[in-house]
Amino acid sequence: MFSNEINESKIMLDTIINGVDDGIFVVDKDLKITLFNKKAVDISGFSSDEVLNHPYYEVLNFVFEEDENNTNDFIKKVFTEGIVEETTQNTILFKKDKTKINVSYGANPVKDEKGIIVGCIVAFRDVTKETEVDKKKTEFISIASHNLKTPLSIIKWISEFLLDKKIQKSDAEKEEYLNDIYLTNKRMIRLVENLINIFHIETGDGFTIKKTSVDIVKLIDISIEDNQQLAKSKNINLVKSEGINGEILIEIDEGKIKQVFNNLIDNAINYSPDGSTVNIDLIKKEKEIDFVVSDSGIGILKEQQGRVYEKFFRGDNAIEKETSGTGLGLYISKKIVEGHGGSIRFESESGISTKFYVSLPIN
Amino acid sequence: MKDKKIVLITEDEKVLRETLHSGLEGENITVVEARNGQEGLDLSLSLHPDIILLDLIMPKMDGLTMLEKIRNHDAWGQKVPVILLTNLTSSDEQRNNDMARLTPTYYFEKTEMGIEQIIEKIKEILKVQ
Repeated sequence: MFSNEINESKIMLDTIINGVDDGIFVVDKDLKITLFNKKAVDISGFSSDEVLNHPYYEVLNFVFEEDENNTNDFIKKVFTEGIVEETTQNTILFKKDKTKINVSYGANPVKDEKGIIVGCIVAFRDVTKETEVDKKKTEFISIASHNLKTPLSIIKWISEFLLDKKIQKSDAEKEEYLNDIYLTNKRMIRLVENLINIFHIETGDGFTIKKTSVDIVKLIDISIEDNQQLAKSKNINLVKSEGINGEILIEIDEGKIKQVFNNLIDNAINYSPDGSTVNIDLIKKEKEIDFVVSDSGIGILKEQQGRVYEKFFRGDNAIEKETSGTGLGLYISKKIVEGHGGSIRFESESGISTKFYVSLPIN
Repeated sequence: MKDKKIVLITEDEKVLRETLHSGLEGENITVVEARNGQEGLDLSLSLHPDIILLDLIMPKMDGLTMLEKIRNHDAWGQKVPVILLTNLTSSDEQRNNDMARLTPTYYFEKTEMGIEQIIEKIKEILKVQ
């Protein structure tokens, strides 16, 4: 009767240990693994036979992410100091197939009735995805704050300069500075719009396409006008093809498509040499309409062409020319265009030119 | 002895560079502009400016790399005062380490400091009357 009860308790305990969502293992006072639950097998890739009765350090290699040569020997610490150890620094576990995963852990000493440590019980979980999301978030905040602070400091410095009565300024100089404030402010508005879009895309909340009937010819005129000052500051000729006239009505989200046009025109201007020309064209086909922006700028490096729509991606030659980009414009543009059932593509030759096509369906 | 002190502004944002330049005009200072770290390094080594204003994130060569090259170059490079102007959000620890390693270096956040404060700091360092 008594042994039956023990047996039932053991079965119950085994069921609990193997049913939990954390990897669990127990190390005895000889540092050998005496228990290795099902989830621990799933996470580490080692079968229980491969780890049971082996010293834990021969099979489970926990290291610090910052320096992979440095073992995070939290189990040893539990034995020597008798304290509970938890993740304080990013930690990596090498799986059986030598791939790396980020893990979090909690390790508790097991004590006998005299308080002597006789073992250590460790619970751990795979946090690779969470760690990656955290890193992306940190990177995003750092990029976003740097990119927001730069235009803010430009506006601050110029305003101070204009307000300083001790410094003499001609009317022409004042106008030039005001123009700088205007362009910088515009750059910031676009950045904020892009950041808001990213937020909506990331959270899956609020990124909806609200279509109305819009005259796309008029929308192109507005986008060109929006970018005229920027083009002028670089002495770039923004040319609309003669074929763009009349009224062409299509069902689109006006604000979002305008953002796509602005992102593409803005890129074309920023990555083109001073004094060059950026051409804008509209090609009407039977079932779709193509918006085309072509420049004679730095182009996209051939080996990086497959990555241009990745979030935060910026070409090496783009970074070298212009440090202030976010690598968000094309990512967002693609999402918006695809949200309309359209497509975006480009032709580019590094150092020579880039041509972007946005195809939108005509309903 | 040079008659006028030379200030080198190394900043990739044209507007910030020009605004600083205009602010320093009339201060009996010769102002030289560099658009990126590589230009900044070349001008530093050829002109030996009396002070360098240095942005951190720039194309071709970033500010810290340029500063390290200057500090390791010669006796002038070890002593020239440098004001780091940045919008980069780095930890205090990282910042203090960089400044200790690359002394004499001062650190200003662009959004925190006004142009007048920067000019005052330059004058204080140069002791231009």
